[in-house]
Amino acid sequence: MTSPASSSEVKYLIESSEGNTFDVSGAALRQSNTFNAMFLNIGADGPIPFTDYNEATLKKVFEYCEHSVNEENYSGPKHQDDLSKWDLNFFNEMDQKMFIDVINASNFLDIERLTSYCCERIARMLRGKNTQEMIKVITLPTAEELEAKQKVEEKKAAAAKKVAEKAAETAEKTETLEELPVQQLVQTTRNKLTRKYLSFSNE
Amino acid sequence: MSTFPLLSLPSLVIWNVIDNLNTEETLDLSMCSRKSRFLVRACSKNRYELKIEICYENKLVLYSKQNPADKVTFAFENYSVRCDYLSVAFEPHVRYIPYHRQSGTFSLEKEFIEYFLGTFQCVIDEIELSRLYNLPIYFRDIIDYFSSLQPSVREFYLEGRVKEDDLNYFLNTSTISEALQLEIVTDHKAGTDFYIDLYSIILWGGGWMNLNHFLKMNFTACFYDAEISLITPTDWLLLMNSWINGWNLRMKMFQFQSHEFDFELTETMFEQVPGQRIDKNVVRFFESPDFIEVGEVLEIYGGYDIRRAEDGVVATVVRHPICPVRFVFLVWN
Repeated sequence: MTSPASSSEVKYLIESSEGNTFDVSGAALRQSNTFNAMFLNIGADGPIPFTDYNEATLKKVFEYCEHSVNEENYSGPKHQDDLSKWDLNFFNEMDQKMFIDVINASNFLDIERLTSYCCERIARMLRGKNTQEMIKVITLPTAEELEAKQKVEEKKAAAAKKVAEKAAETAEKTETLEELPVQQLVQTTRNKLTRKYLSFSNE
Repeated sequence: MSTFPLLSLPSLVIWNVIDNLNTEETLDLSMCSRKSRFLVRACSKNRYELKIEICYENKLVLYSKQNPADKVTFAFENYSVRCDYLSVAFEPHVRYIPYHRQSGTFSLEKEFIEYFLGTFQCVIDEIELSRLYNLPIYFRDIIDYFSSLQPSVREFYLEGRVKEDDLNYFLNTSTISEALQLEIVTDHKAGTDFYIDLYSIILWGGGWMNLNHFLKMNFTACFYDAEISLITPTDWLLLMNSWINGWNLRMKMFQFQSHEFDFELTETMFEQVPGQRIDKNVVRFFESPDFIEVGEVLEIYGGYDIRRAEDGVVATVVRHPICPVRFVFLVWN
């Protein structure tokens, strides 16, 4: 099924994380620099395993590659406003989870054009925002949230410390009996006896 | 407002996102968290430059090297009595830090500078230091502070009253790699320690400079302006003679402007220097080095040509075609 050819008719089998396989054209795959570096010249025996990504994500990524096969050579990122209707639909129909998966897969496969468009799309979310607004967008905890979190952690640490102290106390008591060296134990007993004797003799 | 877990993406992707942000947005992103600051730091090397202005208000301008218009400006108010010229009045995008307890001491500015240098790994490209408004800042302290930040700065502009000792201290301790602009009043007398060798030197209010100052300078381009100059017509001829004998080998252009200098008398004295007078009807074009203007071509009429003894290179001294109170001393390739 796979061969070290450069012809666009050649199909390659791709294996997803579910173990499913599907066809992708050589022309589409060649947009992936990772693929070019790994398989283009030596060919692949059997399905190419991209098992870190699920089938839906990989299909979406290669859908983009198949579509852009006939577009002119990539010459740096375009502004979102310059994207074609198809491109816009492609991005708009993805939910956030799929979008993140597509970015990750595109980054791994090193598909420059798709990665750039995705990144430009993310940059648009941050454009024109100040630090506080950015913190909200990139879902970082705010100062108040951090403070509350720190208080909870402090409480937890204090509770853990109390438990540890109690445990240490108990252990110490046991230790006095169990872990005193024999000679020390003998000496202690002897001292006790001496005291008893002395007190007795004093009486 | 939609949310997006940007910082959970691979670093390469985040860097690509940062590439799509302008300077202001990148700065804001760097201030979101320690991780975002680290990520900005990792992809910003060699992309930004910093300009520092210390004047009636202090300004820090962080800008993209590729596109200087892509910048973020911080302006710090220095005085409790509000000045009319504050940039915030006419530049709405300036981030303004109003007068506060530490204003005028330059301490907050230092924190900002260190943040920029640490996060953007930027180079301080230009420093403007005006002594007219910042008397509380001790001159040598601030010069030492700049020297401690980086070994040299491309351009330095110094303005105000500067004593001879301070000017010597400045010239001896500051390393400027390309351009120096002085707009100062000083009691400086050219001594053995006055030596400047730079691509360009601009001297506004250069009335304090005498012939010895000039003879200790080397430059590719120089502009001198003085209401009343210490340079006399005889000094000017001496300067031409010195060039013939090997002074300032790197010079391409020297513009000398003074309102009290007798240009007509000097022109009649040119024959005292070995050379050749060129007819006024002869028009020549001189491509000036990138200096006050980039790619400027000067159209000159006639002039007086002299030839350097060492290598035969020709130079022309001529009145500026537009400004009659200016000599231009041009060295042909």
